[in-house]
Amino acid sequence: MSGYYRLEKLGKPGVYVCTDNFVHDAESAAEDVGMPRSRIVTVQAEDYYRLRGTDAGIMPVAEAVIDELIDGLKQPLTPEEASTTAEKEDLGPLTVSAESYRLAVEKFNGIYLDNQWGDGLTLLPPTNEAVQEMLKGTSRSPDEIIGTVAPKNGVATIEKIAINAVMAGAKPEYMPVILAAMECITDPDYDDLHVMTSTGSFNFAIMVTGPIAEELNINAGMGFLGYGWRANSTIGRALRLALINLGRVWPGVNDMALVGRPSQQFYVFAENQKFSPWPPFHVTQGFKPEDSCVTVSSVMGASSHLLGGGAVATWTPQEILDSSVRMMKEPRWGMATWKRGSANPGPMKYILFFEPVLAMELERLGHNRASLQKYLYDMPSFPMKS
Amino acid sequence: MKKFCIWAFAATAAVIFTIGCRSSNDVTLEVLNPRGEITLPPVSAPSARIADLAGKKIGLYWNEKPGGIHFWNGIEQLLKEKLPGTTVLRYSGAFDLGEEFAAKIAAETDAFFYGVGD
Repeated sequence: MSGYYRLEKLGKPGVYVCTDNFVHDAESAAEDVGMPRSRIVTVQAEDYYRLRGTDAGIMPVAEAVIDELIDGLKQPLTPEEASTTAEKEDLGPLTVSAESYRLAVEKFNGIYLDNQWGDGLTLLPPTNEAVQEMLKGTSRSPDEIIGTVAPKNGVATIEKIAINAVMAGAKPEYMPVILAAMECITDPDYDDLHVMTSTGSFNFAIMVTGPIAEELNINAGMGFLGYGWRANSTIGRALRLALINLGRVWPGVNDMALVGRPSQQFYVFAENQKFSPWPPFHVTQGFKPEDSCVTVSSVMGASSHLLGGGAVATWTPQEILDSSVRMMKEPRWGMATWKRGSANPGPMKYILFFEPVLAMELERLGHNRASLQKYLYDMPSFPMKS
Repeated sequence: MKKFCIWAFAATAAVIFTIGCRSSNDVTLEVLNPRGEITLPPVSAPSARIADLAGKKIGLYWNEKPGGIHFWNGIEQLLKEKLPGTTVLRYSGAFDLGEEFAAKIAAETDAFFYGVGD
């Protein structure tokens, strides 16, 4: 929609075209760029997607909308379209009353979940007392702004993040991790817009390294990407709620992930330093071992690749590396699109988790983190012309 | 006795009234708003339309994904049929065409259709 807006602002009348299942997304984007009453024409998704493979096949879809498209350029703006008034929003506290605490919490949840201010699970009430308690987990000022959150560039203050952390059931001592992750996500050099809104069902991986991981009991062992640990789960949930409420993102409106974003509490985990043969990840990035760090990366949706072991076959370290290379090589065709500078925002990157026994075996064979990174970077390469 | 009855009745009514009031508003929660402040840009209206497109140049912008190429081929063909004398110019690039490319398209066209997606 931003490209459409640029041309309209240059004085050119236009029509934005999308499938009908994307109309809410287009309307939301039109609001974001400052032209909420843009001319939008939709084509029926159920016809478009099945017929778009050939010129002849898609022609009925084009015929169905051509008159509407032409009218969109010709018909004068209505008074409503020509209006430049904007609606104002009240962000003040809400008061909920009921006959008992249980009913008040139920009523609060009804309001917040109906307003799309939650993740679908029961929320804890962010009373002023609870938020003040959460803010004890950081020495930073509640008014401090750490950035803006896509897609609507909502302002992320320490207090707003704390409100969402309360709703998530996080502990005050988790705040440093939550804030560090929010700083990463809102970094202007990080493309949070794409991760949060793309049809590709991406998600965030949030790795905690350094002493704080153990202090907060963030799971780094068996099941580290799964359920069961309050720190992993509620840090992730606090971040999810913060992104929903600060970025104003919602499935089917402006989060267009087709199958959703698996793991609604993201993937929060710690590096397993107890068994790792290598220095902590953050040390490789120039930090001291005693530092605590948070690393945020975008990852694809959940899928499973069997690289060896279990009921499949015995494995050797080299076989695992070979399987990894095969897996990484296959999607590299997308690089060609990226090189042309269009739809794909960048080349695929990978986070590899090595099970401790495999990591120790690779270490014995002379590998370290850097040599493995180079090997796994070089081996899936193939000539551009292919 | 009559006075006592009136007093007793009034006292009972007051107690019932108080209990009734308490039971309807026993717990009040003031909860903070979790939403972040957003600063939307000033609202602009779309550009004025063109009543007669005869002889005009119409740009078709697509973000180059393979799925839309055939659709836009169809639109181009139909525009030429329905608006003889109209020139159709095809453009492709990123989701957001950027300032420089926008200026180029604006200089070369009178109106446009814009689509991104698959």
